[in-house]
Amino acid sequence: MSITRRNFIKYTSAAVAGASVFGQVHIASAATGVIMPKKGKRIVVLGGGWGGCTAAKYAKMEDPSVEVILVERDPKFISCPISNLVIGGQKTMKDITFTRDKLAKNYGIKIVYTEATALDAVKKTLTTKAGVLEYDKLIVSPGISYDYAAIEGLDNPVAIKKFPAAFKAGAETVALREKLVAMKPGGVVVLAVPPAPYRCPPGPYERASLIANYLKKNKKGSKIIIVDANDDVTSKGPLFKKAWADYYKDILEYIPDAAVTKVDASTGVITTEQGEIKSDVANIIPTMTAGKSAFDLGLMNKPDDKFVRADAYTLESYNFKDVYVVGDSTHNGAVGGVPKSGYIANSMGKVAASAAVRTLNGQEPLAPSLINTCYSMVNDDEAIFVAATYKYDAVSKRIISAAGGTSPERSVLFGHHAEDWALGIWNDILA
Amino acid sequence: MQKLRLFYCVVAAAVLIPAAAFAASAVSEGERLGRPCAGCHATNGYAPGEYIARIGGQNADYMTKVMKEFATGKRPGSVEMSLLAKGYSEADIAAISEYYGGKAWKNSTNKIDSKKSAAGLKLAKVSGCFDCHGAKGEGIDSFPRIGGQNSGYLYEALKRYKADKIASEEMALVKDMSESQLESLAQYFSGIRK
Ligand SMILES: Cc1cc2nc3c(=O)[nH]c(=O)nc-3n(C[C@H](O)[C@H](O)[C@H](O)COP(=O)(O)OP(=O)(O)OC[C@H]3O[C@@H](n4cnc5c(N)ncnc54)[C@H](O)[C@@H]3O)c2cc1C
Ligand code: HEC
Ligand code: HEC
Repeated sequence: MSITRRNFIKYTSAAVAGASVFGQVHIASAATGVIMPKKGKRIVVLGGGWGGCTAAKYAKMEDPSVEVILVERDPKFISCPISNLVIGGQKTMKDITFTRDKLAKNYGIKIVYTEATALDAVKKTLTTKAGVLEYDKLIVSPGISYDYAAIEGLDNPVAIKKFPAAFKAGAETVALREKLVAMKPGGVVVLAVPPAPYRCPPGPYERASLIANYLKKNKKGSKIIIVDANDDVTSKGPLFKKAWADYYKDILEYIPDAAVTKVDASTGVITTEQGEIKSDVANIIPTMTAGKSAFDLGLMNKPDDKFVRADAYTLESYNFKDVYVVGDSTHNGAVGGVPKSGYIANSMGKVAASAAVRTLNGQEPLAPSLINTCYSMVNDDEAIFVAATYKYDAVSKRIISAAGGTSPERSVLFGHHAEDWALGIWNDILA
Repeated sequence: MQKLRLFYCVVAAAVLIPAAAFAASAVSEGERLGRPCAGCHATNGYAPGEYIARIGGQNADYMTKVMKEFATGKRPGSVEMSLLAKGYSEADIAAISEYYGGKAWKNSTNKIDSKKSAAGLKLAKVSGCFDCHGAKGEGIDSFPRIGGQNSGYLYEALKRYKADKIASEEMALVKDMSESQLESLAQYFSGIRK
């Protein structure tokens, strides 16, 4: 989607926070030298997703005198949260597609649309396809990457197209939706849940519920089979199982301990630890790792690490001083038991931004305080949720849960809250 | 009263912290703890939806009371808040409430049904809502602001007073009203834009 854009950087800036100056300049790329030479204090943010946009905005809110540059590959912000409702048919791509223009306009954040490729933590520069950016502080939020190679037969363009993961919202979301719409009544849908940790623990089960809801109404005689690499539903298990029993009894089947080992793109046969299933549509969600950039930039601390270790108090990476990591890329062992969610990425963005700004100004960083909530729709209008607060524990030196729990039941009111949550957090990230 | 307190805080901070550092970053305890709330309530507490309440500019003493009651299970109808509020001490709650209470209020942008709103105004006049909540629903003393609050939230709150799910002598007057009357009141007060 962004490939044609890679030859350009779209450089958006507004000189002063709150000023009405708002220009978009296109600069030809292939630049290898330093671009936008650093004059004063500067924070560079890599990744304009949930963690990165929040960090950029809150850094500017905390100290407008710091220059903030956001580096992002994709000119559009497409929200993963609510994308399951696009797959289920309740929402459209338009509802979850936004620009980052208000970050430039309202806060004076400079946005460079390009891809970051390398880091020099000694010289303190981030190399991008548009040139080299100097920084005082770098905040990295590159999201996740799929490990397609872990499943036999999946790591090729034909299979990837046939079995869209749709855990990065965008073209994959549309592809999965179109496959469901095109499927004949009586078809079999397979949804494969990857082993934890993966982004959005309840996400696959919410999606399965909404696909079952769609099949029930539109594709008589069809079925969805969840094959789960984990030994049980990883989030809100009793609530999901109750909804499945009440609404999708003959439509949805759940098989635990059934990691996918092999897929066949020519026949649609999905092989799991529990046997083979012939699918008409299969949503294979692969094992996830930190975003590829986290590896390319040298942020992995131990040879087998798949996520980035960072200090739980400031989110500064173990490997490099002045380089902070937020969001799905963070290592739970180092940071603490927080889920890989958009809400946590949003909270972490605030923590890292504050720590970066304050240390840049010679102040002590403040203790982190975070919240997570994940709503899941189980049909057109009822939702369930998990909600918790988190704080820093000085003994374990980790972020721990201070309070929280799940909704006692599903309800229409929680469905309204789910919709409002998305509006609220999109505002907090982008406006 | 509350404005005075805030002013005092700012002055104190300016005195204690060197000028350069102060200009750089002055984050109060309420802001540190309150920032994550914006994931649901939006930046500055200006929630754009219908059912999540606006809290930016709400009365700080009222927010403190309500947060404590969430934490002790006295307002079980607010399920998310009942779980989350337990994560904060009384001092935390006071600080967070002060932080959001210190923001300027911004009115709801919810779509309003003009017929229901007109019926709501009539009912409000005869019921004395303005006596306690102010001529524009802006709140008086520790009586909360309801003018320009989000419509769905107002309706849910009124239904809870009616059903005795929130105990309040002052709000007992809504017990005899029908749900459609409560909806009209919610539409009217949410629709106040000035
Ligand atoms: C179906 C689904 C439903 C979900 N529902 C919820 C929910 O209800 N609630 C919730 O809290 N969370 C939910 N999530 C999880 C949420 O989307 C993620 O946790 C969140 O996006 C993580 O934020 P992040 O900043 O770590 O990564 P992202 O938001 O993915 O951002 C990473 C960004 O970095 C950019 N990038 C990466 N590498 C480079 C590079 N080298 N150069 C330039 N740019 C780069 C990418 O283009 C991307 O924009 C859901 C996820 C899915 C898939
Ligand atoms: C998961 C989303 C969510 C989060 C996170 C959240 N809230 Fe709420 N909040 C709500 C909802 C929903 C309501 C309305 C509940 C109801 O119907 O009574 C609400 C209501 C409130 C109210 C009552 C408003 C009134 O006028 O009486 C206050 C005060 C409040 N929240 C404060 C906070 C604070 C402070 C935080 C952060 C510590 C916070 N909330 C975090 C969802 C959230
Ligand atoms: C005698 C004074 C009084 C009158 C009259 C009164 N209220 Fe209230 N109202 C209060 C008080 C006090 C509270 C806070 C109660 C609590 O602790 O929950 C309140 C709370 C509310 C709330 C919840 C606000 C929030 O943010 O949680 C709404 C909505 C409300 N009133 C609407 C009305 C309407 C509509 C009327 C007229 C029909 C009305 N009130 C009449 C005193 C009054």
